[in-house]
Amino acid sequence: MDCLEFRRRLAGEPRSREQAFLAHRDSCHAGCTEAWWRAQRLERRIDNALIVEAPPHLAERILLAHFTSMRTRVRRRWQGFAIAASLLVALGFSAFAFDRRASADPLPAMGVAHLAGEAGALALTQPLGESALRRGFAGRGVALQAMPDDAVYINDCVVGPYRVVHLVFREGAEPVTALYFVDRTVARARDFHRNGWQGSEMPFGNGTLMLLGADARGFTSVERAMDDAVQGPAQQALAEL
Amino acid sequence: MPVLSKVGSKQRQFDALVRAHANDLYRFAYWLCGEDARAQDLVQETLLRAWRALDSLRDGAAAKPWLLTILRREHARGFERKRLDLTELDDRVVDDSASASPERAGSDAQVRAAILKLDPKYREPLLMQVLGGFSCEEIARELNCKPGAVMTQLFRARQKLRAQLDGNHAVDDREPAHGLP
Repeated sequence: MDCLEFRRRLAGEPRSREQAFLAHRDSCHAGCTEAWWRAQRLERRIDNALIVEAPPHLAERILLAHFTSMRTRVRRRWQGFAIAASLLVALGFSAFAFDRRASADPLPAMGVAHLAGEAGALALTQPLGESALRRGFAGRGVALQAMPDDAVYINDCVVGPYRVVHLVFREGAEPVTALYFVDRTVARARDFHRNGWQGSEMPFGNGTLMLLGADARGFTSVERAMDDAVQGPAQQALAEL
Repeated sequence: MPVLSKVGSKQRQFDALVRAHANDLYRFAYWLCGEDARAQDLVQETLLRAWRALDSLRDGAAAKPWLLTILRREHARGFERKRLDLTELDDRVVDDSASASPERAGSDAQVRAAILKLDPKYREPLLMQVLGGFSCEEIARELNCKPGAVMTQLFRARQKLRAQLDGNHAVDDREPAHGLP
C-alpha cells in the first residue's frame, strides 16, 4: 500500500484494521503515521460525543408494550368471532355478570390493579438469588423456609390497605404473579377472572395467597413453591409426622 | 398483561433480542433523528417490525445489522411522512455536563452539535460505520450505492466535522482532489 492509497483509506475508514493499512502506518516516514494519529484523535472525539444514555428500563418498557399490544390483538380477534356467533352473545352476558360479581369483591380488583404499577416485573426472566428473596419476605415479617425456584421478582408491597409479598414466577414463557396478603384472610379458595387475568385466591398461612396469570396452568407449581417457602418443604413436614 | 403461551420460543427469542439491542438501537435512532421521544418511538416501531419478521432472522450474529436496517427504513418512512420538522439544533444537543469534566463536556457538545449539523447524506453513513460497525461495502449495499461513493461520503462527513470543530465552515462538496486528510 502506498501513501496515496493509505490516505484515501484513512479518510473513509480510519478504523480499518486491514493488515496492509496498519503495516504502512507503522513503516511510512512521510507523515502517514502522524496522519493516522490525528485521525484517531478525531475518532475518539466522535466516539465520546456519540455516547448517549438510553432511557432507563427501555427494554423492559418495550417488552411490556409489546406484550400488551399482543394481548389486545388476540382479544380483538376473539371479539370478532364473538360478534359473528349469536351463541357467544349469551356467553358475553354471562361474562358480564361474572365480571360484575367480581367487581363487588375488592381483593381481586385490588390485586389486578396493583399489577399495573409494577408491570415491568412481568418481563423479567432471571431467577432471583437467595438474599433478595429473604429480604423480600422479611420485609413483611415472613421467615423464608425454602427457596422458591423460578422466582424472578420480589417486592414487599402495600395493596389497598394490606401488606403483601409480591412475587413473579416464570413458568415456561408465562409469568405467574403471586400476591401473599400476610394479614388478610379469606374464608375459602376460589377462582376468578378479571380484566383478562385468570386468578385464584386461597387461605394461606395466616393470610391469603392470590395467583394471577394468563391462564391457570402454572398455578399449581407456584402454589407448591409458595407453600414450601412459607410453611416449609412438604417432605420435611411429612418426615416430622 | 400476560402473554398467550403459544408464542413461547419466539417470545423468548424476541425478549433476548430486545434486551441485547434496545440501547444500541436507541443510540443509533437518537443520532439519526436528534430527538429523544422520536428515537424511543423508532426503537419501538423497529422492534415491532422485527417481531413480525423474526422468523426470517436465521443468524443471531446478524441481528444487530438487521435491526439497524429496519430502524433506518422506519426512520426514512417517517421522514417522508413528515418532511421536515426543523428543530433548533441547540435544543437537540444532549446535556451530559453532569457526568463529564467541563472541558470534556464542552468538547463533546461541540462535536455533537457538529454531527447534528451534518447533512443526513453524510451523517447516516457515518453513524452506520461508527455506531453500527458496518464496513464501506455493507453501507454501500444498505444505501444502494457504490463503495467508492460511500468512501467519499465518509470522508466528507469527517472533513465537515473537522472544519466545524476548527471554526472553518466553508467546506465545499466537490470531490476531493486527492483524498488526503
